[in-house]
Amino acid sequence: MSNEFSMQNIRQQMLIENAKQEIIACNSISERYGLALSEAEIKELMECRITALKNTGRVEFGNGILPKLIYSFCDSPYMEQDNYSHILAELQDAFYNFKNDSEEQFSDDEIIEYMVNIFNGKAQGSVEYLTQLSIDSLYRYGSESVNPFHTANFEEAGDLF
Amino acid sequence: MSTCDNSTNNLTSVFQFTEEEYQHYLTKLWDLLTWQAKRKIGIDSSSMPSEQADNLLESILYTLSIVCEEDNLSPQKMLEADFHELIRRGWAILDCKRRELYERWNTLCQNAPNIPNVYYVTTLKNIQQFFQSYDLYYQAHEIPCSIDYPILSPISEEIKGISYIEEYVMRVGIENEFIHCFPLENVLRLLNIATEDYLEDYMNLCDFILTNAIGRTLLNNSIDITDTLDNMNTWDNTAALDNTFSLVLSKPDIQKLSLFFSKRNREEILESLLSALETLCRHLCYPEENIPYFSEALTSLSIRIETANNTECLGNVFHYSAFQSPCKLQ
Repeated sequence: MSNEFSMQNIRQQMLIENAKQEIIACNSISERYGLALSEAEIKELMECRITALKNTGRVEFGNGILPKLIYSFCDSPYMEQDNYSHILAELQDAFYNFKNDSEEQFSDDEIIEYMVNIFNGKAQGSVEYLTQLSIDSLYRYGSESVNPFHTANFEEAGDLF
Repeated sequence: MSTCDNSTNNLTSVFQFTEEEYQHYLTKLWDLLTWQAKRKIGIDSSSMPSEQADNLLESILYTLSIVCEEDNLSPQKMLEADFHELIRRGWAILDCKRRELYERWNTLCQNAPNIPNVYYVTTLKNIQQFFQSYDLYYQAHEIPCSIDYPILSPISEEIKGISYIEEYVMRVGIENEFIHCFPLENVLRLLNIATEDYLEDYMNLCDFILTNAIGRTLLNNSIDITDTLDNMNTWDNTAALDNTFSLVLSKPDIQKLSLFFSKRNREEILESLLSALETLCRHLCYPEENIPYFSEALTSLSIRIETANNTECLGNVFHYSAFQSPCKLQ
């Protein structure tokens, strides 16, 4: 049987076609913040998604994590139209890496929440800072940003407790 | 090629789809896999590791193959069917198989010969773990237990999931039934002679008994080195079989067997073994339908006999005791 019809190729075709429409729909939200993705950028992000999934050894069912990333990050003060597509690609890569590192212990929403908190907080818009974090640090800094009184180690909290 | 692709190709190679049918089949399979994956990972995640997805696909393919086998589905019927309904049908079949197999395993344990070989006993106990851990929904192809005891005719590694355990239980049952044809004290006596420690050794119990019983049958029928296959087929199976249950041979018995085999090539040796087995089973009232199970073992035995005989080491194949008196010929 021809390799053209292998499971991998069917999977890729479906990933691209189905997700594209949803991402186009995301523009209607991100445009309020002056951000939008062109068709070419969407196509590139789709290909980055396939590469990222391959590199991290993951399979995605449904339209992918990109729409959630767009909705979560589009209101970030550090997002600009110039770097929008590039940062989304980096965030997408980072997400799949964190997902692997977490050994499925964190849900998608939790990881994205931590990423947003750090990107807008400690990282000050630096994707490089964010992507270099370990999963433990992502959890620690990401959840601290949610609750400044939260700490994984109560001994570090000092007199507060 | 990933495990995923290999599995789809294994199933479809049986059905010989056209390329269009194959694409249609893959699309439906992907849809089913997506549905199953979402059931497994829930709403919290949109992705899973590839290994987990491949595992899930293996489970789906195994389940679908069970349905096709059980319901005798043609390729067309399978392609036209709703795969979600097929998988549910598969789960029902697997659940039924699990319950039936549990009963058969229980019976097997109750009727096992009282030979406390550690691998034999442990493996039979370990199969209980299979019933506790078998996940027919997401890992139907897995065998979640340790099967250590070697059977006479190994099962192909292509057989997966509950099908493997079904086959294993059946084959152990066949071997047990054969062992039960002989008095336990004779069996234990043979095992004591044939092995260093039959309680701890990694070995198949039936192998020794089958080999020596066939040797005994050949001897009991007053074998002569001039015996042709035609003559063997006319042996009177009611006569001269008093010593059938005496499994331990003597050194003169080995010498007689050696002379018998020395004039025969491998094919003729195999034919004589098969003939002796049929004679033996008739005498023991052992079910005829089980005889083909031993044919693979006899093929291997014929090779061992030929090799051992050429190096005058037949005593390493048929086990004997220096204190055993020779078979008295009728």
